[in-house]
Amino acid sequence: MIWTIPSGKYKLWNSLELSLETDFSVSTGEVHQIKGMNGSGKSSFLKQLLLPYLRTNPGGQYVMYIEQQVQSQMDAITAYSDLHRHPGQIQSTADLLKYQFFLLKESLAMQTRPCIIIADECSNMNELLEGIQQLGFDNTCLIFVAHQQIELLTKYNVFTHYVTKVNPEVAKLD
Amino acid sequence: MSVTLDKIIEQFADDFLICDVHNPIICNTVVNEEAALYNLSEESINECLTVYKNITGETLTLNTELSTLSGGQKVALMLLLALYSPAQKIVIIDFKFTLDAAKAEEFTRLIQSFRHKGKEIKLMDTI
Repeated sequence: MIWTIPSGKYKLWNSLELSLETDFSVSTGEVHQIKGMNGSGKSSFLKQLLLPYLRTNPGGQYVMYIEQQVQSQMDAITAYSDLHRHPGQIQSTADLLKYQFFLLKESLAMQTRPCIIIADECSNMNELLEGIQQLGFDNTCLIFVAHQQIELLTKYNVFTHYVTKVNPEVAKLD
Repeated sequence: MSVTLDKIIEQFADDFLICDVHNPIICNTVVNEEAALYNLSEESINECLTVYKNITGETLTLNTELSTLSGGQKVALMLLLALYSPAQKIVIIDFKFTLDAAKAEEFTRLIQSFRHKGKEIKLMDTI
């Protein structure tokens, strides 16, 4: 399964446009890292372009998104889990990831689909990779934002993309 | 040093201002209200905003909506508010995690300068 956002200019916010210098193309079995300075537009690319693209271009995939500074997502998913069979299960961000993978595995058991995991500066890369390994890397694409190299990923071919600010209102992704 | 967040809170919450880069913003409204929570004087706030501009290249005002900042910019603001606050003992959790290399270096220097001024600043990583 391949997902492609065509090259071009995209308005992320009223005050920020992102220029995709080439097609942003990812497929199952691949790992992609997004790098860039603070405030360059990495998270905005995920939230304002990639996730809406996946929602509006149905490829039958499951999408799991771990947002940056995860507290509000954790509150929401904790409330969901408390109300749906698993009260008190989520106590930490590691638990949160395990629960997200649990739900994803339940969905996969009902219907196999390709998966895209999107992680924005996830502090639990161990648990994240463990979860992906259990799902099977062949059926999964990982896209993550991190400033550092992730040692656990050295055995994988990681495609690196850079978001850089051209000026205060324009960023580009190579 | 790597410990759990619970342990850090248990050990330091009574005496230290705890700054967690995974939860950098408290009130999520405007800069002025966030600064008020750190008990900064007007002079310190202005100094803070000047240093913020020097480090990030971005201009903040007292009325800047915090929701317009990126994750890393929120962390930069949190660190500055903590350093310029009256708190003499500060724990900073996962300090370099969300900062790009250049800003991490700038803040390392800044933290060192506040240590020389007498603040006790502990940098801790969570597991």
